[in-house]
Amino acid sequence: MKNIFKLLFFVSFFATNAQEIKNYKWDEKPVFSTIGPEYDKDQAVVLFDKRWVHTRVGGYSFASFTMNHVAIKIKTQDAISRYNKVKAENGGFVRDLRDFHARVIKPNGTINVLPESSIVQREIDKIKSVVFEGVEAGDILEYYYIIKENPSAYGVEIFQRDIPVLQAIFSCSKYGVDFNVYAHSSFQQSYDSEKSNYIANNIPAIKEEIFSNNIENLVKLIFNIHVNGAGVDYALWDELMKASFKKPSFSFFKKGQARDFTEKLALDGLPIDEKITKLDLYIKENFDFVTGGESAKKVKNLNEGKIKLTASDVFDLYGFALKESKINYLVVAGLNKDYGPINMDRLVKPLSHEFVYYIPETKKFLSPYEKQMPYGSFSQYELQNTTGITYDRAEGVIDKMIFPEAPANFTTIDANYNLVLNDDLSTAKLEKTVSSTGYFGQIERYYAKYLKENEEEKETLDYLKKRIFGDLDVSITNYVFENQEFKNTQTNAPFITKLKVDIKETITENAGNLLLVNIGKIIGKQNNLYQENQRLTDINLNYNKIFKHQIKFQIPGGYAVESFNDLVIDKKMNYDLDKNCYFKSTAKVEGKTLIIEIDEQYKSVFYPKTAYQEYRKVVNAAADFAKATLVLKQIK
Amino acid sequence: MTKITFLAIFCSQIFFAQDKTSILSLQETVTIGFDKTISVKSFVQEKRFIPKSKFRDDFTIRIPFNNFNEISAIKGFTTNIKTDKETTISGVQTYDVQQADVFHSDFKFKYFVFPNVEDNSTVEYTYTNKYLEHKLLSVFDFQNEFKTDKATLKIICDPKIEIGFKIFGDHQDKIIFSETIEKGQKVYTWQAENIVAFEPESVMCATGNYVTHLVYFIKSFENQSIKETVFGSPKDLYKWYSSLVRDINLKDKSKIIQKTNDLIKDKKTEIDKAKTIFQWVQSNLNYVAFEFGMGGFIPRDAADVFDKKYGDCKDMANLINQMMQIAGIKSSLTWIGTRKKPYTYTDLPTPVTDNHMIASAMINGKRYFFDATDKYCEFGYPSQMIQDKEAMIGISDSDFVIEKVPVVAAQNNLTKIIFDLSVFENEITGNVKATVSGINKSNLLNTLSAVNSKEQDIWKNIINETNPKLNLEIASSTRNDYKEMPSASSYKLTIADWLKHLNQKVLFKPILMYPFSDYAIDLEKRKYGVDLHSAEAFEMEYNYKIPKNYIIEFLPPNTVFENPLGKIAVQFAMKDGLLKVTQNIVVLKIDFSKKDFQSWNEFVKKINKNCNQSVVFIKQS
Repeated sequence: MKNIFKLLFFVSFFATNAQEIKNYKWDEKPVFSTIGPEYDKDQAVVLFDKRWVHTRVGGYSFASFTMNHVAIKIKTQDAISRYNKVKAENGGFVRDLRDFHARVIKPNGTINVLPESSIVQREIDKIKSVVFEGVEAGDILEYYYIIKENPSAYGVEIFQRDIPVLQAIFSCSKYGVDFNVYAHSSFQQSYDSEKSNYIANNIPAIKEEIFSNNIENLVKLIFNIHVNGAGVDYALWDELMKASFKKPSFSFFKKGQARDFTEKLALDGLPIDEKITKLDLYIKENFDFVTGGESAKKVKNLNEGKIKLTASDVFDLYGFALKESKINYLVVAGLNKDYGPINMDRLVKPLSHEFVYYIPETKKFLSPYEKQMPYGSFSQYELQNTTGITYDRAEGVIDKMIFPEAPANFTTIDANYNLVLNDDLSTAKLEKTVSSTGYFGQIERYYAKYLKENEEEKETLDYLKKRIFGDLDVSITNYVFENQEFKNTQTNAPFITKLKVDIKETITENAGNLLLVNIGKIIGKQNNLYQENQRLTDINLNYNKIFKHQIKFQIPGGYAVESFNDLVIDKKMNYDLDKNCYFKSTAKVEGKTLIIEIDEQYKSVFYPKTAYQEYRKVVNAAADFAKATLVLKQIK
Repeated sequence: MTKITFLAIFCSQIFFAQDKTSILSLQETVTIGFDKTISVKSFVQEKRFIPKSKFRDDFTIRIPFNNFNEISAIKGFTTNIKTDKETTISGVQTYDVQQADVFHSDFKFKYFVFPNVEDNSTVEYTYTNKYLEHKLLSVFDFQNEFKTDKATLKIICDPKIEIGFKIFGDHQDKIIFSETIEKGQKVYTWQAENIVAFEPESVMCATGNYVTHLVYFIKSFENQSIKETVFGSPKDLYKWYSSLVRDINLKDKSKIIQKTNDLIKDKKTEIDKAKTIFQWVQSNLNYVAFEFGMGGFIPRDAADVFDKKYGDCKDMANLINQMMQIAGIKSSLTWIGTRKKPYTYTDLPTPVTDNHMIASAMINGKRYFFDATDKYCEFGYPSQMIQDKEAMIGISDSDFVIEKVPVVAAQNNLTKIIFDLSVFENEITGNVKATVSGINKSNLLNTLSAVNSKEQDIWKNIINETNPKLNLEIASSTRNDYKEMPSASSYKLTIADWLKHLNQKVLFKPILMYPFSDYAIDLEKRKYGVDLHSAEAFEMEYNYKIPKNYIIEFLPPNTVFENPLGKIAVQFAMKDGLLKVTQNIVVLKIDFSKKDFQSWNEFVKKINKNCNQSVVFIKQS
């Protein structure tokens, strides 16, 4: 009897919830919030954006109902064509469209409901759409639709738009599942009898900024769904790590082959760093990932040379080899800092998490998924200063760690130039050597290798022109790469590019008896923040770095240096002694050569927005240098 | 050394060629039959070589179709070159095409990916395409995104049917044509070999000018000994178009009539009436495109469009046409191909030639073209995308004229800027006034309307697009939409660190804007003509108030330069403590071809040289 009551309770509860979303209606005579003067200049304003997801699994049911109800005030004629069309879909396969209504509310209160006949349907996927009719500036466009879909394990609801949103409401209700909701800090959570509600008010229009975590800053909400009674929740770090990494396993070769592979690498007896370096070098140089349209195949012999493997087999092969070599390791999960901090309890889909190995004994990282990354003290730059979730396979323990920030001297560009004007005193010949280390060196080495392997000579030249010279119109007469092999990445030996180019555009200007030489241009295109006066968000940079340039300019016969003042710049941030970035250039004349030296350093990947103007002046100093000219005068 | 280099390049080209996907053979056989009605069916066969299986897109096939044709009998297989094993395709899917600028259409595609593709595989597929409307036939591309080793088009045609065809694009010399009679059928064959892959370029003229392709169509057929024309001439095309629009406005027009009469009640001339009507449609109708079946050719009822306040090009054209006629203006529906189409009605009197509809009217002996899909197109100007294109203008059910839409002269697309500035020790400050007219104005207003909350940046961009060092504060901005006056804006300007101090000398560059300075063409790389979309002019005037203790030492020489593509005039003058510089740049042509690249670069070089000059002052203590 008790069980029957329980069953009836659940059935009626489930029916009530589902019924409620299916019976959702708009107000016959809606009352909308007043738009504040802060939005006077906006072309349109979202008065409210209500979204409700009801998911039910079990009890002979497997469905999600999604309700979207939006009202937009059209303030200018310009905005109409951007907001007068609605498509009843939610990014996935629509099983059934339960309800779809749209109406135009005139400033005088007249309500024009669109007839059902105005709804059009696509032929194949049956998605329905409607265009609002008779819309004029001042109208409110309101619509809602309810769709039935197959339940999705996750959803991303982005509420921030190119126009402000007065109120955003996300609700979720459930039967047989749990919702885990990860909401932007703008949202406040509340509950009513049936559902959880997340409400954010006065969301400003999107404004993306350079050097900012734009994805993290976006007002959005991610939800993940776990089915009750489906057993272990594999999104929990504890469960996920154990299930995935406790024992390395392989899909396209056998454990015995992996053991042979490890034995043939002959790692025994080597110091730990050498063991791992040798392992990493062999795998990175010989194994490629199966990509694009390629399909993985059973591997006969892992030691036979160039092989394509699935990414997960490569990852586990590292783990297996470490285990066989008795090297203790942690598996570490991290999240690109542009997405925001990692969730400490569970993996949040669909955010793409990074997985690496950490060797506690050497305090170094191994990055199997990153072909360009060597075994070393630092992980991918996207993870720097973020928290990672660690899993100790041997002990079965979940913990956390902070990914270290690589110092500025890890990632450097050291460039040497020899610039000689041609006889026309307009164009020039330039020899340039660029040595890149750290994250610069890794990516350049990898890309140059890719281009070479794919015989993309044309693309290589285009890449070099763009990467090294920016907008400067050059013809590359010769180039050589040095230290191309991956082993150089392991020692952070510089990747060297030596170029000889003809500068085809004029880099000089005559002003009376003066000759102005735009020397700054040869350092390549520089970022600038000239127009970005205001800052809304903190500054987040990829990595710390140092640029050093030495330019030797041969002063042409018949000329002497009148002034190099333009080329001498000294801008230093005034924020924190340990983190200040700076741009400093000096110039001197030695015989018939002008020698210019630049030292530009960025010593932190994060600055608060309060330090923006200080940061900006350093970035702009580099851009100023690229425009700077040397003044020569004719000598008799 | 030279020889070694040559050999290396040669070897790399061989390897390069083998490294890219290529079409080994492409063959389409079109059968045009007649049994009371015309039937058209084609059989398509394509075989590709896939050297690298990682490029999945190269063996992912999408076959487009719509409600005017049916795709069937899709078969295909992958051949592994090492094992010679064949794997057949399965699971062909059909999807709706989703286009950002088309709200509702019948465009669809068949989709499949070849299975078990490994490096150096070949893939081969065939399908049948049945045309349900013989007036809407297709084109055959000899040139494709991949190098094409062999491409063959064969048309087998009932002798009662006369076809027309025309080849466009490059490499026409590689096409071998033959015409035979086989089993009582006329057989036309075109075959080409070794056609390089087509690689599109930025801001290029219509791709159809360059891609080697053939357009075929039915000119006429004989039915019970009576010759019936289909598309033998522009007249036949117009006859069909005219039949499509004969009965389109059957609903009650009273609201349109009332609105039109309201709009023109105080307007005395036809020009004023036409202007009022055109601008009302521009400002009140919103572009929403429907391309579904014959709905892609036939305008919706003007009364519906008037009520709903949205429509596509033909809906807007039809409403304008109706309102103009109510106002007593002799207006016409007008068919036209945009600048994306390379064809003329004489070359190709078929629906392939056009893709757009506008209205036009003859007023006081002058033809006006009305394209309300450009919401801010100035009255009296064609929209940017139809300049220099042939328009088929309907006069009556049977009469039409073909006229070319004029190109808006550069001087009418004028950006004019006046700087009134003062030079100080370390900075330059002052006021700037800008006016923007013609197509430049319409582009500005369309940009302003397309985004929210970037208005300030867009207005500033008029001045600082080519010089981000200019620090601007907007003092005023006036759009002047639907008025015959330019958009106008004014600013406070500050430029820091613009002056160079050399002992007793002070240098600075008085010209602050460099339009087209980075438009040089890479002569080694660029293959195809450039479409600038409009001719335009820039007139800048810089007035610098110079400190009294600055004595001019050097003024750059004045420059006048002109070639067929552009004009530059730069003048420097110093008088009564005022440095006055004028900078005029005019782009004379709307587009240009490869033969003009050198001239264009010469023009750009002159801009860079003459707009980057410094003045030198002696500073007296």
